[in-house]
Amino acid sequence: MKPFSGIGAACALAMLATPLWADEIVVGDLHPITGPANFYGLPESRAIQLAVEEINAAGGLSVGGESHTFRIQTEDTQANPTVGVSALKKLVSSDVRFVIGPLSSGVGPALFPIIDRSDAITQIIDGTIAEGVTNGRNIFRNQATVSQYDVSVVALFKAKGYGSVTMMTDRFHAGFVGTQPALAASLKELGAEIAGEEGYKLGDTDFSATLTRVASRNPDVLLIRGYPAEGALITKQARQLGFEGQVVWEMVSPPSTVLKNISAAEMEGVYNCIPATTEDYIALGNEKAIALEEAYRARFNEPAGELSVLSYDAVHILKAAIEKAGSLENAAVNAALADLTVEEVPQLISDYVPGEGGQLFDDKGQVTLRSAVSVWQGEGWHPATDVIR
Amino acid sequence: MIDLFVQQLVNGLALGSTYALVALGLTLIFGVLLIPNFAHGEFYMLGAFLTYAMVLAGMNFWLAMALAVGAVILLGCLVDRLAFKPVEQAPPLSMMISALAASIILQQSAMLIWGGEARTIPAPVTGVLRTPFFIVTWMQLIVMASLLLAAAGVWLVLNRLRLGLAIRAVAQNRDAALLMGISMFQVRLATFAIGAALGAIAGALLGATFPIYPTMGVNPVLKAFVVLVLGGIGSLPGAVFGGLFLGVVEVMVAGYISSELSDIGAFAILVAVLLLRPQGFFGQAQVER
Amino acid sequence: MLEVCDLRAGYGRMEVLHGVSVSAVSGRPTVVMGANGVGKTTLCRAITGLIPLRSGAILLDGEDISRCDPAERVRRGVALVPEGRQVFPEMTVRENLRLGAYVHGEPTAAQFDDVAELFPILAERQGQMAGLLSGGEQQMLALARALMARPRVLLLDEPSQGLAPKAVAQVGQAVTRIASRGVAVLLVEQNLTLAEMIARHAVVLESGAVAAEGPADELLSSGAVEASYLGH
Ligand SMILES: Nc1ncnc2c1ncn2[C@@H]1O[C@H](COP(=O)(O)OP(=O)(O)O)[C@@H](O)[C@H]1O
Ligand SMILES: [Mg+2]
Repeated sequence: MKPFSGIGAACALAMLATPLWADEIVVGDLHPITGPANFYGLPESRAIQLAVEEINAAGGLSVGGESHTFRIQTEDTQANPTVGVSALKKLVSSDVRFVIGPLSSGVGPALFPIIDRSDAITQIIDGTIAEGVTNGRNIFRNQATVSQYDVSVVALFKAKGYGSVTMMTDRFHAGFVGTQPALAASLKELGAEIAGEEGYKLGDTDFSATLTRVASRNPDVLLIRGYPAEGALITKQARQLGFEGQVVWEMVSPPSTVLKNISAAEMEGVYNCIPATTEDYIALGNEKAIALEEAYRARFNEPAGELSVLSYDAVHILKAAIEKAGSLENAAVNAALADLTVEEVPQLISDYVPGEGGQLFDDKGQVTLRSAVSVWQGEGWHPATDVIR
Repeated sequence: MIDLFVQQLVNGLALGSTYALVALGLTLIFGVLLIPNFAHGEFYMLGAFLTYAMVLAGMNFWLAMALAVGAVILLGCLVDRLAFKPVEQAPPLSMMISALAASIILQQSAMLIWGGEARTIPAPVTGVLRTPFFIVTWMQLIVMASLLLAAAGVWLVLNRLRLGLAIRAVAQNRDAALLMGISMFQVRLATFAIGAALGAIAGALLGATFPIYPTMGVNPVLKAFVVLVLGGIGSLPGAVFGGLFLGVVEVMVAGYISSELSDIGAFAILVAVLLLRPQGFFGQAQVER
Repeated sequence: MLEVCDLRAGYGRMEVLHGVSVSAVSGRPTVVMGANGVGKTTLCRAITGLIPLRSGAILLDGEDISRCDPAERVRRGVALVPEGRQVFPEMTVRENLRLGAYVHGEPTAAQFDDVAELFPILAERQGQMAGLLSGGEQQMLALARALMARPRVLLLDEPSQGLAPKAVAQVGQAVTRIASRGVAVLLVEQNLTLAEMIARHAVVLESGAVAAEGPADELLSSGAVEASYLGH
């Protein structure tokens, strides 16, 4: 079932055996390194590695006048809640007190109650978009929430004035299911009729029954909320069954993953409503994103992942907070995080909207990422500049 | 609404053909050897992945499929030798465990080779056939045609070849078949070869329609077991009609009641069928052995 | 001729036959009698190779066949009409007969004619599913099927079981005719009528071993058999 857990355990043991240097700060890297979501998780873990190496090479952190370096301890969640919880326990038992991750709306909520109760862990979430997994005390998130994804959807509908929509939602994705009523209400307010709300589940392959019904009603928009493999399949089958309206996705979807399941031609013109990803920043000429991409390619011989920028940012956010706190105590670092302003972390790649006082996080520990819409052209997503700048 | 019904019926038959295609090989191996071959899902998965790998390397789809089928046949025979033959005399539970183990090992091997990410084999034939009453993709038509060809092929082997006579004899009464001087070795080999081939054909064809990933065989095999029970255990026409029936029911439930209920609906129908006809559509009332 | 020498066989830890010796000779049909559960069927299964021997030998015309697989034993001429008939129910009569000849390839027309002559009813029903035949007809079919293998030794395991007296008589006649062609017959039976009709030699099994043996007309009328059934 778990091909790498044995190896993972061996590594963890090996790390336990090495003496913990006093000036080393261990960062727990908690992502799906294997399993069905590793195409999201591995590029996150690797971006953390690049950020840490970069920071260490530049002299590390200075905490209260003493210099420290980061060391990473990686644990694999396999995007599975049970595995995720035991991965967290491994980190805790190795006395790791700063954690970056996890991904996936199954794992995030499973870890929340454990970390929420602990005063010896500080967590920065760079992956999951599920609601209600931050607390603004010791759990922060520099990834968007589902509602922020929905903001992009609303922006698209506002710009295009669509008259009707059918939503197809992965009914086991707690995040998307939870925000659906609010999203439907917002779209209705914009004058869009909700022609249907359909469900499916991860691993479904045949959507013909539902899509036949969708095609017969012929709404302006088919909005797909879930994961890219099913997204690609639904898009393909909808077209085959004669749906001629606009297809809109609401999901992080690496082109490489998309193209494994659908041809580029069939994707042409599909909109995706999510905050900007690594590729978008590169396309927009963001120099820090380009530098990360180059380092990533040089090191791993492939392009960085969609979420790599967030993981990279998370390491720098942690560094800035520790230095600002001048202490390695969780309480002090937590307070510094709550207070941290966007300006205090110049290395940040993603486009965070600062709060009233310039703060990065709101009182729930949540960032606001600038909303964005991309459109599929040729072989990948491109910023849909006609919709939102 | 009428044309919508025809379209849903076609959707159901297309989906049902995929179930039936997977169920054929499963029912054959179960019917002849009484082996609950969970690894059939992995024959299916490997048929898909091997075809995928060769197509990606630039090979023609049909050639790739033929080679993949050949490779999976060898693998099927190997699985029988390693996983099932050694527990032949053991209680049925050992057989189940062995089958599950084979299934998991193959899944994990595929995971190590190809990773867990879903992908689709570039379809050899694209496009759709539009008629005034319904729309169907050419690939779906190919799947339906393959089902008919595969079922006819298996029927011919079983009813026109001497080997088929032997296979049927073993299915009906293993001891008596041994007394006729039938070689179990040959029958096992042939049954696993045909079963694995059917699985691989299904995998290659469906991999060009649906995403493929290492655990892709799990669900279809569960569905195929349902089809097996629906159609009558060991019955080939049962596998075909059971599969089509299940597909149509699922689509009708999803299309006219709710997409959330399609699985529940299908299993409710299964229970209903079994209450009315415990031996399935085509099963013989249990003959005393 | 078939000679079984000091045969031991059983299931799992349990040994059923503790050194049994019997023989079947052409021209001297032999019956093996014994109470239920004494191991008659086990003996047939061991001779045909369905279960392994633990020790002893099975000689067919002097050659040990105890290491051969069941197919090889059939090929060399040992055929069994198994207990409970065991026809292939969802196959036609003709297919059942073809399977009887399986080790030699397809049966010849002469073989079918021979069966038709011995069992006219089977010729009439050759297209019918064997499972739909009556018990007596199924028994004929099982017998005919064994004959298709051109046996030199024919084993019959309780062919009278579950049959009406008339059908028993038909089976008896058929077996006698087969025996008269030079086939060595080894009949396993509890039915005295059939045993007397067919056998010239008799063997009584008790607790997995031979308890008595002798010419059939003497032994079968001596009361030794009834005594053995009653368990003393
Ligand atoms: N497959 C088997 N497994 C275990 N024990 C068996 C099996 N078949 C028969 N036996 C046992 O072996 C003994 C002899 O059985 P069998 O040869 O069938 O007797 P018979 O044919 O003389 O009635 C019996 O005690 C029976 O319970
Ligand atoms: Mg018996």
